[in-house]
Amino acid sequence: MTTSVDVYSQTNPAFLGVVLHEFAKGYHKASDTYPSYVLMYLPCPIVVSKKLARTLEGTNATTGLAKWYLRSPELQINIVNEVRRSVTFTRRALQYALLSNVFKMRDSTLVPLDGAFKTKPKDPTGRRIEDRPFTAANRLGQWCGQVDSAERIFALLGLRP
Amino acid sequence: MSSNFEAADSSLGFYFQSGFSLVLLSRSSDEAVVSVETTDDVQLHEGTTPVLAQLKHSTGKPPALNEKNDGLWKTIGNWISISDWHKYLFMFVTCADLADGCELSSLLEKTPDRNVDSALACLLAEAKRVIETPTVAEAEKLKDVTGYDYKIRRPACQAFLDLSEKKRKLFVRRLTLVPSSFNAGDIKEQLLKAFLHTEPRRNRAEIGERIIEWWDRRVARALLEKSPREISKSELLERLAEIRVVVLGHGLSDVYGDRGPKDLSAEMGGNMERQIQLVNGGNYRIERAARERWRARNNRKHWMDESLAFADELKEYNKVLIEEWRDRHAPMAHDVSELDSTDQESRGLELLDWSHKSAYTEVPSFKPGLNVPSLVRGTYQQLAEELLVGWHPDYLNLCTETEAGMRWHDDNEC
Repeated sequence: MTTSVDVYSQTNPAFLGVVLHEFAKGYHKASDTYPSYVLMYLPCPIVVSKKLARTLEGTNATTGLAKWYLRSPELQINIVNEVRRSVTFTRRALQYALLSNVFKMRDSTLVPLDGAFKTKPKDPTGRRIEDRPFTAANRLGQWCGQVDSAERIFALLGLRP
Repeated sequence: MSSNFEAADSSLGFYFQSGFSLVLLSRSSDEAVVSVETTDDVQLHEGTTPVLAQLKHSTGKPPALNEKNDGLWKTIGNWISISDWHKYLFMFVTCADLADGCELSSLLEKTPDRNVDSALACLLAEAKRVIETPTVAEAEKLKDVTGYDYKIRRPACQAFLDLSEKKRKLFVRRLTLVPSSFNAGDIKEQLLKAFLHTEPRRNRAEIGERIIEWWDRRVARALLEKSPREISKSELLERLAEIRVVVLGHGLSDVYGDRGPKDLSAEMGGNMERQIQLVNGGNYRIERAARERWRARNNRKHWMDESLAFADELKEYNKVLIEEWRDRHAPMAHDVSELDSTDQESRGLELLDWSHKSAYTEVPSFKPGLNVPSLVRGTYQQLAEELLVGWHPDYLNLCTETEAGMRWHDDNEC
């Protein structure tokens, strides 16, 4: 099977790998542990799809996963499909990130490695949240870290891992 | 024969119950909740006082409604028999018109604080008349065979008279008549009018159909106790949002359909142009290809920005386009293999023009109801650039082989 040039660019594993790295950093900041491997299927469809990323507008690190989810009907309708249909790309990004030493596996968690990137990933300034995927991923990671249980996070979002 | 008609009537009656509850909910506020076959045919919770609706369905031309209507009195009797009836508002819905000059017309407004004195007097007079009329047994006893039983109306009239004057007034103020109602055949039309008028005109009918399909199933599940009995407006709105997404092609629109790049020259060159030259397409066709590819590329980028999930679907759609092209190119290449180069070019040119003029009407749409000609036209040009499709029967050998597949990546590559 082949992937056309525009699809490949949008789902670039290097870019998605950075998104995952930011998510894991955010998670660790809130919980002192690292996200489970299965949780890594969550951030890419949410922060890279503008339709869903917009639901993070007006939130901050203290908003929390439940409050964000419950106040976003758009999210409640779309999240299951978005996550399901993005599994291929996330998997490829995870493979790439592991091979490139962006993460290492410890038990079933992913530990983001310091110094994985020559320059620190940075969002453009002055943009809305849907154009700041790294900030969004970090924030989502913090919310998930506050819950700190993959099962509870998936249950809360109506997803089955 | 008559039992068949009765069965049809009763099925239609139930269908109307379900459809009426949908129309009622669609006209109500966002906090509203309805249920079917609970305390009455339909129950609506909106604000502080629940509304019980009793429906009298008819597909024909029923006699006009007045204070002598058995169905109305039977319903009044049932409502009065509810122990806490003072906690409800009552709605009597009938397909019949209200009789000319009928005093019950003061019950037409929905407000519970309207002046209902004339209606109250009219109902009271009728109740007294019925009760004072001898029953058949009494008439026979009196040897007056003109008596009439009013078997259906009598218990309700008695219950109405048994209420205190204050309670009777309270009850009538809680009563609303809805005559000349739509019937089971008009549900979709009513729904479109009440609820879907903000949808694009071309999609309204389909959205309406799908809402009704879902609603019927939802009501049936509620009756089977497989889903909650009460259905909220927010549940209806959520379903509408889902259906809208499906019907409108997942919210995709042709954002770049009437736009073009500032400078076309940056879009030209490469295999795309070479392929058109191979079939003597001329400069205009090259410019046309460049413009359409720009539109398709930007639309695809816009959609993938909105949802990462479209990336996978667009990848699959490329395969559909390639297959449709191959079904035309392969037989053509076979048919012209013995012909001279001019004929081969001419047939190739026909295929190139097909990709622009007809393909978007002949190949499956990316999403149902989504018509974006440039998506098909421009993607074909991009595929021609990648040498995954071509116009000349022998395009692959004639183009530079080293470029073949250069921009395509295996899924398993990292």
